[in-house]
Amino acid sequence: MNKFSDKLMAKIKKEKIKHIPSWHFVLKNMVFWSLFAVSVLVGAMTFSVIIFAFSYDELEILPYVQYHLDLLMQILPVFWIFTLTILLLVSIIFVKKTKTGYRYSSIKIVGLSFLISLLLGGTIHVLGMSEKIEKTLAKNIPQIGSIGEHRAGRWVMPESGFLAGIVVEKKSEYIVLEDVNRKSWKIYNADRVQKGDLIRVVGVMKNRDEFIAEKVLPENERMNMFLEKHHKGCMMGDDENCPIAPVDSRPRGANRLNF
Amino acid sequence: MTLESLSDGEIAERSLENPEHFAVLINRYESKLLAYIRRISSFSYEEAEDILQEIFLSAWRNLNDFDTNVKFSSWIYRIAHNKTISTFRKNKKYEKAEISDELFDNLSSNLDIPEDLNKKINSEIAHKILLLLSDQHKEVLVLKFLEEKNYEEISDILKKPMGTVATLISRAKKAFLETYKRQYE
Repeated sequence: MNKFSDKLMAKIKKEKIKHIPSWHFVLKNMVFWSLFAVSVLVGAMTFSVIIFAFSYDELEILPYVQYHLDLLMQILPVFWIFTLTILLLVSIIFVKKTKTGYRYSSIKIVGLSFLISLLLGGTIHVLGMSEKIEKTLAKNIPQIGSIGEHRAGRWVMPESGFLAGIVVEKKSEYIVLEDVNRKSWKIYNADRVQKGDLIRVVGVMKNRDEFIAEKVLPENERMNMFLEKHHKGCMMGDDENCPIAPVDSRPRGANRLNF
Repeated sequence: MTLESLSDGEIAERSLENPEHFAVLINRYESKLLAYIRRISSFSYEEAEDILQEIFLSAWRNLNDFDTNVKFSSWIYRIAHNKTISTFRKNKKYEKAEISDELFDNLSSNLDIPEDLNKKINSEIAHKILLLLSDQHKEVLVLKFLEEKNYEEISDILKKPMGTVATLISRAKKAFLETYKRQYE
């Protein structure tokens, strides 16, 4: 032993400097790996909601993104993508705080988190739980808003180029569409529809009564449910005046109008 | 089998039961760590000794955190690195310190310094240049070429992935030459 080591060992003995117990380090390591697991799990739930959002069959609208840049922001579940990004970044911090986490590059950590979240998220969606997760969060955090309501609600924004409703009349130059507010619109360039069809139209509002269609999209199940729920005749609980036949009773290909 | 014949890791484990064994580790690492502290901080000898004491006390307290899958030298160098850098940043000092000629030879031969430049750079200039480099670049050059650590050890000391260490060393070498050219040409 030399002078320095003698002095140090004497200090340790005199001041009774103790070792930090091993459970402290084991617990710390477990906490950070657990936090990583939680971030991946929440990431998986977020991913499942993102997949759910895209399941609204609106990718066909994407070719119009270049003309409707705001549409991209509406189609993309921005809040959920932002949340997923934060979770992926946070997972790096948690892993790096573990005992051996420093050996992995940030890209590898993010890649692994992303992959596990994607696989788990896909599984959650296939099991039908993504919609429940989304609805529960939208109910408890109103600021997020329901994807379903938001998506369907877009189709009553003619000033932004979106309309949905029922074809009540077909003329040679235009069709007449009745939207959920029971307002009638003259829609141009929409020749291929029939009276009674429930349609969605992407285009440009010409004036308060006229709309020029760029793309006509067929009905889908979620849109039907939205229209049923929000159509003024249906909302009043007045089945006789509700022009939309209930979804379940509607035979395939039959006239949708409840005349 | 005497204590001195045991590996650092074995002595560290035994120190948990018998504190006196820790003194063997202190003796083994005292001068190496003292030199390391002065290379990355240019603290005076006395100041470096104070930091060295703090390093060993920290190692003593955290001995249960020592993982036998990592070399003991990497573990204690990591403690030394962290303590020195944090103290250096609190009390920024630029006192002159030295790299011996022998170490300078190792540094210059590994930095791919062109022949004509190599004649102009001596150990004093090399140390001045090192102090002008960013902390990141200085750290890796000192560990690689002066402390002669390999990539895995540097990764364990600095807690960075090995790929990052390799990139840092490459950039540090370029930074060294660019800094020399800026200062002396």
